[in-house]
Amino acid sequence: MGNVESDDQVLWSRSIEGDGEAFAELYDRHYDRVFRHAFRLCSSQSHDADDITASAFLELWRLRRKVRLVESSVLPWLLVTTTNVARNHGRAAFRYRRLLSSLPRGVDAPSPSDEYLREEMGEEVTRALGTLTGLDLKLVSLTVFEDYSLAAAAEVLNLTPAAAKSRMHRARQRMKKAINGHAQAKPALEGNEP
Amino acid sequence: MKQQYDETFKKALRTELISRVQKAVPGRAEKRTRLLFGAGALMGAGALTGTAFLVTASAPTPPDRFLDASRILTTLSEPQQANDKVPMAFQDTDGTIVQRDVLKPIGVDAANTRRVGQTRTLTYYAAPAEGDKICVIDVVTAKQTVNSAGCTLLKSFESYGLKTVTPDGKESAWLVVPAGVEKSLESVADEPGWKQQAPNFLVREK
Repeated sequence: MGNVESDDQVLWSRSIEGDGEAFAELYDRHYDRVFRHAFRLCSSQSHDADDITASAFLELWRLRRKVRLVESSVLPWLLVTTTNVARNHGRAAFRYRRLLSSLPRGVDAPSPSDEYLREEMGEEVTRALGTLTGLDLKLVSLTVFEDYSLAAAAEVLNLTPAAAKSRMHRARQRMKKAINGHAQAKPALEGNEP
Repeated sequence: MKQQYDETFKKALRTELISRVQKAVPGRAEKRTRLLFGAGALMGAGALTGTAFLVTASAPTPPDRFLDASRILTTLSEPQQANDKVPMAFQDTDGTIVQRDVLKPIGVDAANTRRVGQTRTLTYYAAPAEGDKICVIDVVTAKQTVNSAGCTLLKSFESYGLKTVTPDGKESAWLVVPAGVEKSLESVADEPGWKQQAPNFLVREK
């Protein structure tokens, strides 16, 4: 366990006691990873990912009494919540709609970063993620993209290690099938063109 | 890496979150309690087992962002003395005394510890730690075993200090910035028994 992880515990305890700056420090620390996770899941525009990220952090505070730190970090909980929010974007956005619409936005110009992120994530992977069930998506997100151990992911998702391993195997198969299936379908479609 | 998100939105959200957190806990400025190193964290660090000290903090001093631990631990500029050294042992949950460097896992160099004070059963040491932090380590005086440790960021230290209290609430100790002693004592005026033991180290025994 590193010191950074210990810091999460300290900052989280201070946040619970009403220390806004401590919560802001957690926000600064994890914003990038939460945003990138949100962007990966919504596969659309940065502003959607902005809203999902915002909702995840607002949920972190709203549900603070239920938050469980894994390996002394709030990040696993945040990532799982981000997955939930992304999958229920309309509903979560509704809860915070008034707030989200009241926050100032930057100039709404075509964002080169959108393309950059899209290229980095890969459309096929994004599409394959869409074939997973909610729980499997969280598991894959934590272990494959965020480098958490299967044991840590299992802990945050309330799964036994054996169940996590089994689910992970099935999720990999499903993603592989989705990616391969798309690759095979592509030439066929091209072949139908005049 | 190129900008990934709407910076304006991000900053506004940050401000909103701070506001929500602070509004949710009225009177937070007067007193806070936080768990720095619970038993789980210590076990995870591989440093100690079976200890769970609450480390509390108050907000009596003005903000300051220096990252130099010697402004808090002024004796750091002097050579380490024999009684500044933290014993390299801790008592395991089964009662066994384990000889091990318990400071390294929390990023503390054993050569940098300084004794800061004591209560009835505990002796307190402080030391800078990796990651721009400062730690307070308490040792069971009779057994010469490390009992617990709490760390905080140096940049936050001015606002909160580091306060430890035993689980039974009978022994408390509080490292503060030298200029913050008076304000710190004022902030705990409703807790009888606090006294200044060293220039910036306060203790309370019941």
